Amino acid sequence: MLGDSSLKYRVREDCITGWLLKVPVLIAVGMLVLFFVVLTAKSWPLLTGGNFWQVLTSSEWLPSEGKFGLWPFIIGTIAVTFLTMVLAVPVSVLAAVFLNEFAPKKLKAIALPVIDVLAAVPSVIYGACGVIAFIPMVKALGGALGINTTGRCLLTAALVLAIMVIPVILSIVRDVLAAIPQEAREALLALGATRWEATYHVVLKLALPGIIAAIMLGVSRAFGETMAVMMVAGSIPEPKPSLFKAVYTLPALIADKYGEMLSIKMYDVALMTAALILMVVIAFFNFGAHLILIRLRRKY
Amino acid sequence: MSHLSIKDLHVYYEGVETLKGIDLEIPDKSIVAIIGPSGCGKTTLLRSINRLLELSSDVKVTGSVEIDGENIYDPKADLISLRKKMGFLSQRPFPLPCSIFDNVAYGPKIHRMDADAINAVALSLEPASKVSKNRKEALANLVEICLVKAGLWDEVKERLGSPASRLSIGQQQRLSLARALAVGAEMILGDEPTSALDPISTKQIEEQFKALSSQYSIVMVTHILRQARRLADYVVFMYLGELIEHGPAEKIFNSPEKEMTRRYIKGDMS
Repeated sequence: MLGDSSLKYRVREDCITGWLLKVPVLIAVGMLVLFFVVLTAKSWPLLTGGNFWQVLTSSEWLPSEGKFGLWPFIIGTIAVTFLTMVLAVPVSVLAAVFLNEFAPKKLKAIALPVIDVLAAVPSVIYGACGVIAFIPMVKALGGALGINTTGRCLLTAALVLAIMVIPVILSIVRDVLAAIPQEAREALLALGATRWEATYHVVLKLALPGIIAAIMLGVSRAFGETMAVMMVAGSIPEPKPSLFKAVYTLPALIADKYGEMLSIKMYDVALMTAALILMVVIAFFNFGAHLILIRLRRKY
Repeated sequence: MSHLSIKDLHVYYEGVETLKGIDLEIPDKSIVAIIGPSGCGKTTLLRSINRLLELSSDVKVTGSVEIDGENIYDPKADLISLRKKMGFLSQRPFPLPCSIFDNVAYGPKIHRMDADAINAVALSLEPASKVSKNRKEALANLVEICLVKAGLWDEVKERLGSPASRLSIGQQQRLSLARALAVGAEMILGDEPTSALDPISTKQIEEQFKALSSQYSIVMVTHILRQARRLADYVVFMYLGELIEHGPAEKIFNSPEKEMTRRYIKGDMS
């Protein structure tokens, strides 16, 4: 019967497409596993060499003497990321709230596409702007405060990164706010709440998991950013980060030194260890974000 | 007790006239049902009464909606206290993301009502209610009375602290009612308040409306004629943005003056 054979065909087709659709997911998951395996294998000599703790906590970076202290890079990356978030989170969340809850329609229509473009600007351009604008500004600021600085420092790197991640966080938070049902606002306004009360008590509360996810993504972006930071941060390992002192981050270290590592023993192992640390931290942040999201969802 | 009158109300959505000059006196202490086919402007009319309409973009309103003689479209009107006077139930109830107790207590809290103000609302709802000089106790009393009046107390009294989102949708709608009562609403607006509910929950809401109509004016939009028959004391029939006919329910349902009303009641158009 015709019906039978065509049904068989459709069932087989369904089965095959089901499998085909799984392939990209398996590739994506496989890549992550592969990264970890390769990086772990490459950094194995340092991980198991008995002085891994020292690699993490030592500030001595003298590759020619076989001393690979990663501490200044680790703390540098943390400091840059932390300062970036301190600068970027309030601005982006408040701007998103303003745009979604208070801004007139015309302003929204102009601002939202502009923000999306900003989020897509390549980081090298932010780096260039940092060199042109922020380095002299921070240098002048340091001068005004009586601090001697080249302008290539932690503060400049954080400013450039903040400008870079603001559109990313803003754009996601705006989407999250736009997804909150209009009934939520109406329920409060109808009780005689002001718009700010409706926003603060309900909209932001409901949006919180999404806002946290947006911030986590911003953290990942800032933590892993290489180009813009390399261009403005000064790239000198400092074990004690300070606003007006140069800073050297893990991604910048890997990008800077990868070419020159061939001749020195263990240099490649040290850089792969740096890469592994970067991966672990970013994975930790993402899983952490997921855990928070799951807990918040359960609560309400 | 507030009195509501609507005079020559026009509403334009993006330039299109959706309400074409509505004149209506809402009778006090009764259930008013606004009926009519989809897109006739029932919801627009309801939402123009508490100015929720203007949350949608590009809306223009002319004419007046007067509550106790005060035009809510007057630029100097105190929108917050006007909205407070009108409890609002939307199609889908929306529990605030907090406990059942806090949902009801939310209104008195944001309006910073003191113990006396809270007691006054409680007494207006239930003349025999307990009063307390202590604000916390007064608020607890009020929350109980509001939940009793909304017909929800017995179902939630053991778990006032649990999240309101765990309630069933029918319970959530009654919680919305309790929330509105707690700010001292003098009138209740319902935008198809039972359309998302199951038959039992619908019946519960209808029963609460019946019970409350001795104290409140209740204006509800409904597209269910049978519901209007069951509940309404007064019926407003609209068609394509115009008010076709209004009057006591008995008259509209049994001997309407206009042909269009008759056809709608008979079910020839919907």
